[in-house]
Amino acid sequence: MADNFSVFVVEDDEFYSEVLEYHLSMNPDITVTKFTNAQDFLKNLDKNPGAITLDYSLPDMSGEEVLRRIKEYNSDIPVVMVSGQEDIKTAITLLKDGAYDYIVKDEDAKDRIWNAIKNIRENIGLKREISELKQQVKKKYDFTTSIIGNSPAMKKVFAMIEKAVSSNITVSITGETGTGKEVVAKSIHYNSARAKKPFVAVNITAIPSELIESELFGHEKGSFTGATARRVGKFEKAGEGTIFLDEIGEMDINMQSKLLRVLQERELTRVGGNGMVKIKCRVISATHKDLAEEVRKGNFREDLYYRLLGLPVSLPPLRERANDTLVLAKHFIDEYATENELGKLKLSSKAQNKLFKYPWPGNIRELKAVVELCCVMTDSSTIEDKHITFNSTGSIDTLLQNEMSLEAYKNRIVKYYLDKYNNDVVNVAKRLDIGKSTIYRMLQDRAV
Amino acid sequence: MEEKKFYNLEQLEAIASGNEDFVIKMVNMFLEMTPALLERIAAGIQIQDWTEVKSAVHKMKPSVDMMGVTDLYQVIRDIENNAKTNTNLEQIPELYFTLSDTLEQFFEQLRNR
Repeated sequence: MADNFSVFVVEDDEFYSEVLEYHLSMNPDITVTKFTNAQDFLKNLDKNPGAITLDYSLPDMSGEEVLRRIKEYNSDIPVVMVSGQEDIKTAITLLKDGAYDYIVKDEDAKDRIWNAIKNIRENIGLKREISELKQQVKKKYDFTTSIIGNSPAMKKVFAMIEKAVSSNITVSITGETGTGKEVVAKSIHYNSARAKKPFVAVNITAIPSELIESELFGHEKGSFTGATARRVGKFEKAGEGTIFLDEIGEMDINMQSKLLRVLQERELTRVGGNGMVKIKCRVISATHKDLAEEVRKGNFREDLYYRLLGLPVSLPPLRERANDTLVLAKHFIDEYATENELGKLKLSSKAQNKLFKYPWPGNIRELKAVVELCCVMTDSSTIEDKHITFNSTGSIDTLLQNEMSLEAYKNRIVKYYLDKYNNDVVNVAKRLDIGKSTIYRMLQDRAV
Repeated sequence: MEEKKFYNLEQLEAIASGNEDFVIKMVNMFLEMTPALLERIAAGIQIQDWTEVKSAVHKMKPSVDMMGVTDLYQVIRDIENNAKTNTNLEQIPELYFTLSDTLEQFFEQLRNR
Protein backbone atom coordinates (compact mmCIF):
# COMPACT_ATOMS: atom_id res chain seq x y z
CA MET A 1 0.00 0.00 0.00
CA ALA A 2 2.97 2.25 -0.28
CA ASP A 3 1.83 3.69 -3.56
CA ASN A 4 0.22 7.06 -3.82
CA PHE A 5 -3.47 7.31 -3.23
CA SER A 6 -5.44 10.11 -4.85
CA VAL A 7 -8.49 11.51 -3.08
CA PHE A 8 -10.79 14.06 -4.66
CA VAL A 9 -12.49 16.36 -2.16
CA VAL A 10 -15.59 17.89 -3.70
CA GLU A 11 -16.82 20.54 -1.31
CA ASP A 12 -18.14 24.04 -1.90
CA ASP A 13 -17.38 25.17 1.65
CA GLU A 14 -13.79 26.33 1.37
CA PHE A 15 -13.28 26.30 5.09
CA TYR A 16 -14.31 22.72 5.40
CA SER A 17 -12.45 21.48 2.35
CA GLU A 18 -9.32 23.16 3.65
CA VAL A 19 -9.66 21.28 6.93
CA LEU A 20 -10.32 18.03 5.13
CA GLU A 21 -7.38 18.44 2.82
CA TYR A 22 -5.09 19.23 5.68
CA HIS A 23 -6.37 16.34 7.73
CA LEU A 24 -6.14 13.73 4.97
CA SER A 25 -2.74 14.97 3.83
CA MET A 26 -1.37 14.06 7.26
CA ASN A 27 -0.90 10.69 5.63
CA PRO A 28 1.97 11.27 3.24
CA ASP A 29 0.69 8.60 0.83
CA ILE A 30 -2.49 10.55 0.18
CA THR A 31 -2.72 13.28 -2.42
CA VAL A 32 -5.78 15.50 -2.14
CA THR A 33 -7.27 17.45 -5.02
CA LYS A 34 -10.02 19.94 -4.15
CA PHE A 35 -13.01 20.95 -6.25
CA THR A 36 -15.61 23.52 -5.28
CA ASN A 37 -18.27 22.66 -7.83
CA ALA A 38 -19.59 19.64 -9.64
CA GLN A 39 -18.75 20.80 -13.17
CA ASP A 40 -15.01 21.15 -12.53
CA PHE A 41 -14.95 17.91 -10.69
CA LEU A 42 -16.75 15.90 -13.36
CA LYS A 43 -14.35 17.23 -15.98
CA ASN A 44 -11.50 15.72 -13.98
CA LEU A 45 -13.13 12.39 -13.28
CA ASP A 46 -11.02 10.75 -15.98
CA LYS A 47 -8.00 11.14 -13.69
CA ASN A 48 -9.44 8.15 -11.84
CA PRO A 49 -9.18 9.11 -8.18
CA GLY A 50 -8.85 6.29 -5.65
CA ALA A 51 -11.69 7.74 -3.60
CA ILE A 52 -13.99 10.75 -3.57
CA THR A 53 -15.52 12.69 -0.71
CA LEU A 54 -18.56 14.43 -2.05
CA ASP A 55 -20.51 17.24 -0.41
CA TYR A 56 -24.20 16.60 -0.70
CA SER A 57 -25.21 20.18 -1.40
CA LEU A 58 -23.11 21.61 -4.17
CA PRO A 59 -24.12 24.93 -5.77
CA ASP A 60 -24.51 23.60 -9.29
CA MET A 61 -25.79 20.07 -8.95
CA SER A 62 -27.52 17.83 -6.43
CA GLY A 63 -25.52 15.19 -4.59
CA GLU A 64 -27.63 12.38 -6.04
CA GLU A 65 -26.96 13.59 -9.53
CA VAL A 66 -23.19 13.83 -9.05
CA LEU A 67 -23.12 10.40 -7.44
CA ARG A 68 -25.08 8.96 -10.33
CA ARG A 69 -22.61 10.42 -12.83
CA ILE A 70 -19.62 9.07 -10.95
CA LYS A 71 -21.19 5.63 -10.83
CA GLU A 72 -21.97 5.82 -14.52
CA TYR A 73 -18.38 6.62 -15.27
CA ASN A 74 -16.88 3.95 -13.05
CA SER A 75 -18.92 2.16 -10.44
CA ASP A 76 -15.77 0.96 -8.66
CA ILE A 77 -14.68 4.36 -7.33
CA PRO A 78 -15.75 4.58 -3.69
CA VAL A 79 -17.67 7.76 -2.89
CA VAL A 80 -17.98 9.03 0.67
CA MET A 81 -20.94 11.39 0.91
CA VAL A 82 -20.46 14.26 3.30
CA SER A 83 -23.49 16.22 4.33
CA GLY A 84 -24.20 19.15 6.61
CA GLN A 85 -27.43 17.58 7.63
CA GLU A 86 -28.47 14.38 9.17
CA ASP A 87 -31.24 13.03 7.03
CA ILE A 88 -31.81 9.33 7.28
CA LYS A 89 -33.93 9.17 4.14
CA THR A 90 -31.31 10.85 1.99
CA ALA A 91 -28.61 8.70 3.56
CA ILE A 92 -30.44 5.51 2.69
CA THR A 93 -31.11 6.66 -0.85
CA LEU A 94 -27.48 7.55 -1.38
CA LEU A 95 -26.21 4.31 0.08
CA LYS A 96 -28.60 2.41 -2.15
CA ASP A 97 -27.28 4.34 -5.11
CA GLY A 98 -23.82 3.06 -4.34
CA ALA A 99 -22.28 5.57 -1.94
CA TYR A 100 -19.58 3.98 0.19
CA ASP A 101 -20.53 5.90 3.30
CA TYR A 102 -22.65 8.82 4.50
CA ILE A 103 -21.02 11.14 6.97
CA VAL A 104 -22.55 14.16 8.70
CA LYS A 105 -20.33 17.18 9.22
CA ASP A 106 -20.06 17.19 12.96
CA GLU A 107 -17.26 17.05 15.44
CA ASP A 108 -16.31 13.47 14.56
CA ALA A 109 -16.74 13.86 10.83
CA LYS A 110 -13.10 14.29 9.99
CA ASP A 111 -12.13 11.18 11.90
CA ARG A 112 -14.89 9.22 10.27
CA ILE A 113 -13.83 10.41 6.85
CA TRP A 114 -10.25 9.50 7.72
CA ASN A 115 -11.39 6.02 8.70
CA ALA A 116 -13.53 5.65 5.61
CA ILE A 117 -10.58 6.54 3.40
CA LYS A 118 -8.35 4.19 5.36
CA ASN A 119 -10.84 1.35 4.91
CA ILE A 120 -11.17 2.10 1.25
CA ARG A 121 -7.44 1.92 0.80
CA GLU A 122 -7.27 -1.38 2.65
CA ASN A 123 -10.12 -2.66 0.59
CA ILE A 124 -8.44 -1.69 -2.64
CA GLY A 125 -5.25 -3.32 -1.44
CA LEU A 126 -7.14 -6.53 -0.68
CA LYS A 127 -8.95 -6.47 -3.98
CA ARG A 128 -5.69 -6.07 -5.81
CA GLU A 129 -4.17 -8.89 -3.82
CA ILE A 130 -7.09 -11.17 -4.61
CA SER A 131 -6.86 -10.48 -8.31
CA GLU A 132 -3.12 -11.10 -8.23
CA LEU A 133 -3.65 -14.37 -6.38
CA LYS A 134 -6.29 -15.37 -8.88
CA GLN A 135 -3.81 -14.74 -11.63
CA GLN A 136 -1.28 -16.90 -9.83
CA VAL A 137 -3.77 -19.71 -9.40
CA LYS A 138 -4.62 -19.46 -13.06
CA LYS A 139 -0.97 -19.67 -13.93
CA LYS A 140 -0.57 -22.63 -11.63
CA TYR A 141 -3.33 -24.47 -13.41
CA ASP A 142 -2.39 -23.44 -16.88
CA PHE A 143 -2.49 -26.99 -18.17
CA THR A 144 0.52 -26.58 -20.38
CA THR A 145 2.63 -26.10 -17.24
CA SER A 146 0.70 -28.02 -14.58
CA ILE A 147 0.29 -31.18 -16.59
CA ILE A 148 3.56 -32.49 -17.84
CA GLY A 149 4.27 -35.07 -20.44
CA ASN A 150 5.12 -35.58 -24.09
CA SER A 151 4.00 -39.16 -24.51
CA PRO A 152 1.44 -39.94 -27.23
CA ALA A 153 -1.01 -41.01 -24.52
CA MET A 154 -0.77 -37.58 -22.88
CA LYS A 155 -1.09 -35.74 -26.19
CA LYS A 156 -4.53 -37.30 -26.49
CA VAL A 157 -5.36 -36.09 -22.99
CA PHE A 158 -4.26 -32.55 -23.83
CA ALA A 159 -6.47 -32.54 -26.90
CA MET A 160 -9.45 -33.55 -24.75
CA ILE A 161 -8.71 -30.92 -22.10
CA GLU A 162 -8.60 -28.25 -24.76
CA LYS A 163 -12.03 -29.31 -25.95
CA ALA A 164 -13.32 -29.26 -22.38
CA VAL A 165 -11.91 -25.79 -21.74
CA SER A 166 -13.58 -24.19 -24.71
CA SER A 167 -17.02 -25.66 -24.06
CA ASN A 168 -19.42 -26.13 -21.20
CA ILE A 169 -19.80 -29.85 -21.54
CA THR A 170 -19.91 -32.20 -18.57
CA VAL A 171 -16.59 -33.98 -18.19
CA SER A 172 -15.82 -37.40 -16.78
CA ILE A 173 -12.27 -38.25 -15.86
CA THR A 174 -11.06 -41.77 -15.37
CA GLY A 175 -7.65 -42.96 -14.35
CA GLU A 176 -5.88 -45.00 -11.73
CA THR A 177 -5.14 -43.53 -8.36
CA GLY A 178 -2.46 -40.87 -8.50
CA THR A 179 -2.74 -40.11 -12.19
CA GLY A 180 -3.80 -36.52 -11.53
CA LYS A 181 -7.56 -36.51 -11.94
CA GLU A 182 -8.04 -33.51 -9.69
CA VAL A 183 -5.23 -31.60 -11.39
CA VAL A 184 -6.97 -32.12 -14.71
CA ALA A 185 -10.33 -31.03 -13.26
CA LYS A 186 -8.77 -27.85 -11.86
CA SER A 187 -6.97 -27.17 -15.11
CA ILE A 188 -10.21 -27.39 -17.00
CA HIS A 189 -11.92 -25.06 -14.55
CA TYR A 190 -9.18 -22.44 -14.32
CA ASN A 191 -8.75 -22.25 -18.06
CA SER A 192 -12.44 -22.08 -18.85
CA ALA A 193 -14.79 -19.11 -18.90
CA ARG A 194 -15.76 -20.07 -15.35
CA ALA A 195 -12.26 -19.45 -13.98
CA LYS A 196 -13.32 -16.53 -11.80
CA LYS A 197 -16.15 -18.50 -10.22
CA PRO A 198 -15.63 -21.10 -7.49
CA PHE A 199 -14.15 -24.55 -7.95
CA VAL A 200 -15.69 -26.89 -5.39
CA ALA A 201 -14.25 -30.37 -4.96
CA VAL A 202 -16.19 -33.11 -3.21
CA ASN A 203 -14.69 -36.48 -2.50
CA ILE A 204 -17.61 -38.88 -2.30
CA THR A 205 -15.66 -41.47 -0.30
CA ALA A 206 -14.72 -38.90 2.32
CA ILE A 207 -18.31 -38.23 3.35
CA PRO A 208 -20.44 -40.69 5.32
CA SER A 209 -23.31 -41.86 3.15
CA GLU A 210 -25.98 -40.49 5.54
CA LEU A 211 -24.56 -37.01 5.21
CA ILE A 212 -23.81 -36.91 1.53
CA GLU A 213 -27.19 -35.61 0.47
CA SER A 214 -27.04 -32.62 2.77
CA GLU A 215 -23.40 -32.09 1.88
CA LEU A 216 -24.22 -31.89 -1.81
CA PHE A 217 -27.61 -30.19 -1.73
CA GLY A 218 -27.61 -28.43 1.64
CA HIS A 219 -30.32 -28.60 4.26
CA GLU A 220 -32.80 -26.37 6.02
CA LYS A 221 -32.65 -25.63 9.70
CA GLY A 222 -34.24 -28.41 11.72
CA SER A 223 -34.50 -30.86 8.86
CA PHE A 224 -32.86 -33.52 11.01
CA THR A 225 -31.39 -33.85 14.49
CA GLY A 226 -28.32 -31.70 14.62
CA ALA A 227 -29.30 -29.46 11.73
CA THR A 228 -29.23 -26.32 13.82
CA ALA A 229 -28.90 -23.90 10.96
CA ARG A 230 -29.56 -23.72 7.27
CA ARG A 231 -26.66 -25.05 5.30
CA VAL A 232 -25.77 -24.35 1.72
CA GLY A 233 -24.69 -27.45 -0.20
CA LYS A 234 -21.72 -27.90 -2.48
CA PHE A 235 -23.80 -27.51 -5.62
CA GLU A 236 -24.98 -24.09 -4.46
CA LYS A 237 -21.50 -23.15 -3.29
CA ALA A 238 -20.17 -23.84 -6.75
CA GLY A 239 -22.58 -21.22 -8.10
CA GLU A 240 -21.68 -20.60 -11.70
CA GLY A 241 -18.35 -22.32 -11.23
CA THR A 242 -17.46 -25.99 -11.34
CA ILE A 243 -18.30 -28.85 -9.01
CA PHE A 244 -15.84 -31.72 -9.01
CA LEU A 245 -17.29 -35.03 -7.85
CA ASP A 246 -14.34 -37.24 -7.08
CA GLU A 247 -14.70 -41.01 -6.69
CA ILE A 248 -18.21 -40.88 -8.11
CA GLY A 249 -18.08 -44.67 -8.53
CA GLU A 250 -18.34 -45.06 -4.76
CA MET A 251 -21.69 -43.31 -4.48
CA ASP A 252 -24.42 -45.54 -3.14
CA ILE A 253 -27.26 -46.42 -5.40
CA ASN A 254 -29.94 -44.38 -3.59
CA MET A 255 -27.88 -41.27 -3.78
CA GLN A 256 -27.19 -41.96 -7.44
CA SER A 257 -30.86 -41.61 -8.29
CA LYS A 258 -31.11 -38.36 -6.32
CA LEU A 259 -28.09 -36.96 -8.12
CA LEU A 260 -29.49 -38.06 -11.45
CA ARG A 261 -32.71 -36.18 -10.79
CA VAL A 262 -30.84 -33.01 -9.88
CA LEU A 263 -28.66 -33.20 -12.96
CA GLN A 264 -31.66 -33.79 -15.17
CA GLU A 265 -33.81 -31.00 -13.77
CA ARG A 266 -30.86 -28.64 -13.21
CA GLU A 267 -32.44 -27.74 -9.89
CA LEU A 268 -32.30 -29.10 -6.40
CA THR A 269 -34.23 -29.05 -3.15
CA ARG A 270 -32.35 -28.67 0.11
CA VAL A 271 -32.91 -31.52 2.56
CA GLY A 272 -36.05 -30.65 4.50
CA GLY A 273 -36.82 -27.74 2.21
CA ASN A 274 -39.53 -27.06 -0.31
CA GLY A 275 -38.16 -24.42 -2.62
CA MET A 276 -36.26 -25.25 -5.76
CA VAL A 277 -32.76 -23.91 -6.23
CA LYS A 278 -31.46 -23.62 -9.78
CA ILE A 279 -28.01 -25.01 -10.37
CA LYS A 280 -25.74 -23.40 -12.88
CA CYS A 281 -22.41 -25.07 -12.25
CA ARG A 282 -20.53 -27.34 -14.58
CA VAL A 283 -20.10 -30.91 -13.40
CA ILE A 284 -16.82 -32.75 -13.63
CA SER A 285 -16.73 -36.25 -12.20
CA ALA A 286 -13.86 -38.62 -11.68
CA THR A 287 -13.34 -42.21 -10.71
CA HIS A 288 -10.60 -44.82 -10.70
CA LYS A 289 -13.15 -47.50 -11.46
CA ASP A 290 -14.28 -48.68 -14.84
CA LEU A 291 -17.78 -47.25 -14.65
CA ALA A 292 -19.03 -49.12 -17.70
CA GLU A 293 -18.08 -52.30 -15.92
CA GLU A 294 -19.83 -51.13 -12.74
CA VAL A 295 -22.94 -50.48 -14.81
CA ARG A 296 -22.83 -54.02 -16.16
CA LYS A 297 -22.48 -55.36 -12.65
CA GLY A 298 -25.45 -53.30 -11.57
CA ASN A 299 -23.51 -51.15 -9.11
CA PHE A 300 -23.90 -47.94 -11.04
CA ARG A 301 -27.02 -46.58 -12.68
CA GLU A 302 -26.79 -46.63 -16.43
CA ASP A 303 -28.78 -43.40 -16.87
CA LEU A 304 -26.52 -41.57 -14.45
CA TYR A 305 -23.48 -42.99 -16.21
CA TYR A 306 -24.55 -41.45 -19.50
CA ARG A 307 -25.60 -38.22 -17.81
CA LEU A 308 -22.13 -37.84 -16.33
CA LEU A 309 -20.11 -39.21 -19.23
CA GLY A 310 -20.10 -36.07 -21.39
CA LEU A 311 -16.58 -35.65 -22.58
CA PRO A 312 -14.56 -38.58 -21.27
CA VAL A 313 -10.94 -37.90 -20.38
CA SER A 314 -9.00 -41.03 -19.68
CA LEU A 315 -5.72 -40.52 -17.88
CA PRO A 316 -3.12 -43.14 -18.73
CA PRO A 317 -1.23 -44.82 -15.89
CA LEU A 318 2.38 -43.73 -15.60
CA ARG A 319 3.74 -47.04 -16.85
CA GLU A 320 2.03 -46.43 -20.20
CA ARG A 321 3.46 -42.97 -20.56
CA ALA A 322 6.82 -43.91 -22.06
CA ASN A 323 9.44 -41.36 -21.26
CA ASP A 324 7.13 -39.20 -19.13
CA THR A 325 8.33 -40.94 -15.98
CA LEU A 326 11.73 -39.35 -16.34
CA VAL A 327 10.37 -36.01 -17.50
CA LEU A 328 8.15 -35.93 -14.43
CA ALA A 329 10.89 -37.18 -12.12
CA LYS A 330 13.16 -34.36 -13.27
CA HIS A 331 10.35 -31.88 -12.81
CA PHE A 332 9.68 -33.04 -9.24
CA ILE A 333 13.39 -33.02 -8.41
CA ASP A 334 13.73 -29.44 -9.66
CA GLU A 335 10.60 -28.42 -7.82
CA TYR A 336 11.73 -30.00 -4.58
CA ALA A 337 15.25 -28.65 -4.92
CA THR A 338 13.98 -25.12 -5.51
CA GLU A 339 11.54 -25.24 -2.62
CA ASN A 340 14.20 -26.47 -0.24
CA GLU A 341 17.11 -24.56 -1.71
CA LEU A 342 19.12 -27.69 -2.39
CA GLY A 343 20.79 -26.47 -5.53
CA LYS A 344 20.81 -28.42 -8.76
CA LEU A 345 20.22 -32.18 -8.42
CA LYS A 346 20.58 -34.73 -11.19
CA LEU A 347 19.81 -38.42 -11.66
CA SER A 348 22.56 -40.89 -12.49
CA SER A 349 21.85 -43.09 -15.49
CA LYS A 350 21.45 -46.14 -13.24
CA ALA A 351 18.94 -44.25 -11.15
CA GLN A 352 17.10 -43.19 -14.28
CA ASN A 353 16.97 -46.79 -15.37
CA LYS A 354 15.58 -47.89 -12.02
CA LEU A 355 12.82 -45.27 -12.12
CA PHE A 356 12.04 -46.12 -15.70
CA LYS A 357 11.65 -49.85 -15.08
CA TYR A 358 9.46 -49.60 -12.02
CA PRO A 359 5.75 -50.06 -12.81
CA TRP A 360 4.48 -47.22 -10.57
CA PRO A 361 1.23 -48.63 -9.20
CA GLY A 362 0.70 -45.39 -7.31
CA ASN A 363 1.40 -43.42 -10.46
CA ILE A 364 2.45 -39.78 -10.32
CA ARG A 365 1.61 -39.43 -6.63
CA GLU A 366 3.98 -42.29 -5.85
CA LEU A 367 6.63 -40.99 -8.21
CA LYS A 368 6.54 -37.63 -6.47
CA ALA A 369 6.92 -39.23 -3.04
CA VAL A 370 9.75 -41.50 -4.17
CA VAL A 371 11.60 -38.69 -5.88
CA GLU A 372 11.28 -36.35 -2.93
CA LEU A 373 12.62 -39.05 -0.65
CA CYS A 374 15.69 -39.61 -2.82
CA CYS A 375 16.33 -35.86 -2.93
CA VAL A 376 16.64 -36.08 0.84
CA MET A 377 18.66 -39.30 0.84
CA THR A 378 21.41 -38.15 -1.48
CA ASP A 379 24.43 -36.40 -0.02
CA SER A 380 25.81 -35.04 -3.24
CA SER A 381 24.28 -33.34 -6.26
CA THR A 382 23.70 -36.69 -7.94
CA ILE A 383 20.96 -39.14 -7.10
CA GLU A 384 22.19 -42.73 -7.40
CA ASP A 385 20.04 -45.83 -7.77
CA LYS A 386 20.73 -46.78 -4.14
CA HIS A 387 18.94 -43.65 -3.00
CA ILE A 388 15.73 -44.80 -4.60
CA THR A 389 13.44 -46.85 -2.40
CA PHE A 390 10.04 -48.08 -3.41
CA ASN A 391 7.42 -48.45 -0.72
CA SER A 392 4.59 -49.71 -2.78
CA THR A 393 1.81 -51.10 -0.66
CA GLY A 394 0.13 -53.45 -3.11
CA SER A 395 3.27 -55.52 -3.78
CA ILE A 396 1.53 -58.46 -5.42
CA ASP A 397 -0.37 -56.14 -7.71
CA THR A 398 2.84 -54.33 -8.47
CA LEU A 399 4.46 -57.54 -9.48
CA LEU A 400 1.51 -58.50 -11.63
CA GLN A 401 1.57 -55.16 -13.38
CA ASN A 402 4.85 -56.21 -15.00
CA GLU A 403 2.78 -58.56 -17.12
CA MET A 404 5.55 -61.09 -17.56
CA SER A 405 5.13 -64.67 -18.68
CA LEU A 406 4.38 -67.33 -16.10
CA GLU A 407 7.87 -68.74 -16.65
CA ALA A 408 9.40 -65.37 -15.90
CA TYR A 409 7.30 -64.98 -12.74
CA LYS A 410 8.33 -68.44 -11.63
CA ASN A 411 12.01 -67.59 -12.08
CA ARG A 412 11.57 -64.37 -10.21
CA ILE A 413 9.89 -66.03 -7.25
CA VAL A 414 12.61 -68.66 -6.97
CA LYS A 415 15.32 -66.00 -7.21
CA TYR A 416 13.65 -64.03 -4.43
CA TYR A 417 13.73 -67.04 -2.12
CA LEU A 418 17.29 -67.96 -3.04
CA ASP A 419 18.45 -64.43 -2.28
CA LYS A 420 16.58 -64.43 0.99
CA TYR A 421 17.92 -67.78 2.21
CA ASN A 422 21.52 -67.42 1.06
CA ASN A 423 21.15 -69.77 -1.86
CA ASP A 424 20.21 -72.63 0.45
CA VAL A 425 18.54 -74.76 -2.22
CA VAL A 426 17.26 -77.40 0.19
CA ASN A 427 15.58 -74.85 2.41
CA VAL A 428 14.05 -73.00 -0.54
CA ALA A 429 12.77 -76.22 -2.12
CA LYS A 430 11.07 -77.09 1.13
CA ARG A 431 9.47 -73.66 1.51
CA LEU A 432 8.20 -73.53 -2.06
CA ASP A 433 7.18 -77.16 -1.95
CA ILE A 434 9.02 -78.05 -5.15
CA GLY A 435 11.77 -80.51 -5.93
CA LYS A 436 15.41 -79.59 -5.33
CA SER A 437 16.23 -80.69 -8.86
CA THR A 438 13.84 -78.11 -10.31
CA ILE A 439 15.86 -75.39 -8.63
CA TYR A 440 19.16 -76.88 -9.68
CA ARG A 441 17.92 -77.04 -13.26
CA MET A 442 16.91 -73.42 -13.14
CA LEU A 443 20.31 -72.50 -11.77
CA GLN A 444 21.98 -74.46 -14.51
CA ASP A 445 19.95 -72.67 -17.16
CA ARG A 446 20.98 -69.42 -15.52
CA ALA A 447 17.30 -68.61 -15.29
CA VAL A 448 17.73 -67.45 -11.71
CA MET B 1 -13.48 39.80 35.88
CA GLU B 2 -12.10 37.87 32.99
CA GLU B 3 -13.88 38.28 29.70
CA LYS B 4 -15.88 35.31 28.50
CA LYS B 5 -14.11 33.39 25.77
CA PHE B 6 -16.50 32.51 23.00
CA TYR B 7 -14.40 30.04 21.18
CA ASN B 8 -12.29 26.97 21.67
CA LEU B 9 -9.70 26.15 19.07
CA GLU B 10 -8.87 22.76 20.54
CA GLN B 11 -10.48 20.89 17.68
CA LEU B 12 -8.69 22.90 15.05
CA GLU B 13 -5.41 22.61 16.91
CA ALA B 14 -5.89 18.88 17.20
CA ILE B 15 -6.16 18.65 13.46
CA ALA B 16 -3.23 20.97 12.96
CA SER B 17 -1.20 18.83 15.35
CA GLY B 18 1.34 21.52 16.10
CA ASN B 19 1.22 23.38 12.82
CA GLU B 20 0.39 26.93 13.97
CA ASP B 21 0.46 28.25 10.39
CA PHE B 22 -2.48 26.07 9.59
CA VAL B 23 -4.45 27.38 12.57
CA ILE B 24 -3.73 30.99 11.53
CA LYS B 25 -4.70 30.26 7.96
CA MET B 26 -8.00 28.73 9.00
CA VAL B 27 -8.78 31.53 11.45
CA ASN B 28 -8.18 34.12 8.74
CA MET B 29 -10.29 32.18 6.33
CA PHE B 30 -13.08 32.09 8.85
CA LEU B 31 -12.84 35.82 9.45
CA GLU B 32 -13.03 36.47 5.73
CA MET B 33 -15.89 34.12 4.93
CA THR B 34 -18.30 34.49 7.79
CA PRO B 35 -19.29 38.19 7.54
CA ALA B 36 -20.41 37.65 3.94
CA LEU B 37 -22.53 34.72 5.05
CA LEU B 38 -24.04 36.80 7.85
CA GLU B 39 -25.00 39.42 5.28
CA ARG B 40 -26.67 36.79 3.15
CA ILE B 41 -28.71 35.62 6.12
CA ALA B 42 -29.75 39.16 6.98
CA ALA B 43 -30.73 39.90 3.38
CA GLY B 44 -32.66 36.65 3.21
CA ILE B 45 -34.63 37.46 6.35
CA GLN B 46 -35.48 40.91 4.97
CA ILE B 47 -37.15 39.54 1.87
CA GLN B 48 -38.32 36.36 3.65
CA ASP B 49 -36.33 34.15 1.31
CA TRP B 50 -36.03 31.20 3.68
CA THR B 51 -34.23 29.00 1.18
CA GLU B 52 -31.45 31.56 1.01
CA VAL B 53 -31.36 31.80 4.82
CA LYS B 54 -31.15 28.07 5.13
CA SER B 55 -28.42 27.75 2.53
CA ALA B 56 -26.26 30.49 4.06
CA VAL B 57 -26.58 29.25 7.62
CA HIS B 58 -25.92 25.72 6.44
CA LYS B 59 -22.62 26.84 4.93
CA MET B 60 -21.67 28.57 8.13
CA LYS B 61 -22.33 25.57 10.33
CA PRO B 62 -19.17 23.45 9.89
CA SER B 63 -16.74 26.33 10.37
CA VAL B 64 -18.52 27.70 13.44
CA ASP B 65 -18.55 24.19 14.91
CA MET B 66 -14.90 23.77 14.14
CA MET B 67 -14.06 27.03 15.87
CA GLY B 68 -15.68 25.69 18.97
CA VAL B 69 -18.27 28.44 19.38
CA THR B 70 -20.46 26.26 21.56
CA ASP B 71 -22.92 29.07 22.34
CA LEU B 72 -23.95 29.07 18.70
CA TYR B 73 -24.23 25.35 18.19
CA GLN B 74 -27.97 25.23 18.86
CA VAL B 75 -28.73 28.71 17.49
CA ILE B 76 -27.41 27.82 14.06
CA ARG B 77 -29.32 24.58 13.99
CA ASP B 78 -32.54 26.27 15.05
CA ILE B 79 -32.28 28.85 12.27
CA GLU B 80 -31.51 26.21 9.73
CA ASN B 81 -34.29 23.94 10.84
CA ASN B 82 -36.93 26.63 11.06
CA ALA B 83 -36.01 28.01 7.64
CA LYS B 84 -35.98 24.58 6.13
CA THR B 85 -39.33 23.44 7.52
CA ASN B 86 -41.01 26.86 7.35
CA THR B 87 -41.95 26.67 11.02
CA ASN B 88 -41.57 29.23 13.79
CA LEU B 89 -40.33 31.69 11.20
CA GLU B 90 -41.07 34.57 13.60
CA GLN B 91 -38.24 33.32 15.83
CA ILE B 92 -35.64 33.62 13.12
CA PRO B 93 -34.90 37.38 13.39
CA GLU B 94 -34.35 37.00 17.13
CA LEU B 95 -32.08 34.03 16.59
CA TYR B 96 -30.23 35.97 13.93
CA PHE B 97 -29.46 38.78 16.37
CA THR B 98 -28.04 36.30 18.86
CA LEU B 99 -25.96 34.84 16.06
CA SER B 100 -24.58 38.12 14.76
CA ASP B 101 -23.95 39.59 18.24
CA THR B 102 -22.07 36.54 19.38
CA LEU B 103 -20.10 36.37 16.16
CA GLU B 104 -19.12 40.05 16.40
CA GLN B 105 -17.65 39.48 19.85
CA PHE B 106 -16.04 36.29 18.66
CA PHE B 107 -14.44 38.06 15.68
CA GLU B 108 -13.06 40.66 18.04
CA GLN B 109 -11.55 38.04 20.29
CA LEU B 110 -10.10 36.14 17.34
CA ARG B 111 -8.46 39.22 15.86
CA ASN B 112 -6.84 39.99 19.21
CA ARG B 113 -5.82 36.45 19.80
